[in-house]
Amino acid sequence: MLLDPDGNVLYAAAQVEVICDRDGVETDRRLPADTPANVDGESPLVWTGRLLPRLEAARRFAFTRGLQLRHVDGLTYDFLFGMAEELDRADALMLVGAGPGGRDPVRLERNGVPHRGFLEGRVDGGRYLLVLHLTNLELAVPVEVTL
Amino acid sequence: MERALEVACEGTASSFTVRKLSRATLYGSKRRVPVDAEGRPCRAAALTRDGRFLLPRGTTATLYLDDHGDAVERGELRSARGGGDAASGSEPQAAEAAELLDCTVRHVYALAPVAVSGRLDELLAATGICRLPGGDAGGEARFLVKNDTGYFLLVGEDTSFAPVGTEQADLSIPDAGEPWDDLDLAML
Repeated sequence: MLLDPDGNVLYAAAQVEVICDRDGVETDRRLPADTPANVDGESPLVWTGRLLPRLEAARRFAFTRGLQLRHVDGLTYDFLFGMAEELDRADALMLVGAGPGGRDPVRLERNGVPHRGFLEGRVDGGRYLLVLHLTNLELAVPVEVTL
Repeated sequence: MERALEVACEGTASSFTVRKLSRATLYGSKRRVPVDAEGRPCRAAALTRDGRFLLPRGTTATLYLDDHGDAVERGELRSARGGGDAASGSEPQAAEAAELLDCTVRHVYALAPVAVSGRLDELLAATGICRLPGGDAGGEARFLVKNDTGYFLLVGEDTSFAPVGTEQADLSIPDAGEPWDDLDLAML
């Protein structure tokens, strides 16, 4: 159950979204809005055409989730193998995103954490590995920290 | 007290101070908070089963119990995966980008160099990534990454993703074609 600041039990409570800066200081608050997932069949992720070299991607982002993409039949095998082969040849990851032009971040579930998605492909003979790497954290030093 | 990371590399030692990196420290944070009618933030509390006591945050604790029901101090806990002292006895290795991409990152730390040996810098010169010893017993991997902004420690777990070929099992779910008439919920 919920208690107000005076310790009284609340029987109904509203929710607000509180935005804090890097120091944890509240900068804004607003009514929360539900955000739908955007990776379903009606709005598939977009192959943006923006390639990031594999090494640069590994050194620039912390990939905190990964999803392996696999085929379900011969047609999707050809399709996914072709993607993996192209990415492996380029030695790069492809930015994929949601919405028009793939500009929006990927949300796997309703109100889920938004991520940037990068597709990595490798091939070995007739076998392929196609992984959607998800990240929401850059490897960068916070500006207020003196290191 | 500031945490430190020591990296031994071919007889040379490098040391860093460690700070955990998160979205909150890098970009700020956003969270949903319950508020009362005056917009004041509220806090969650648990109610005991008999309804007599409220247990707000900070009034409860968890502890580890052994087989006899006795409490075990956190300092006495050991990894069930074995290899308790895995950090010793091996050297950092230069790593390729693919090795790091094969892991799902669980923790990220920004490292402030106190002293970096020339040998470690040589290792990092090739790709900017090296795999640190230790933590491998349970599939955990630790990488030291150097990029334009600094040094980072990434702790992750192997994804175990494997390439697939045409022999992959059919993942589609076949329709058994059986009638739905016998789906009796009343018998549950």
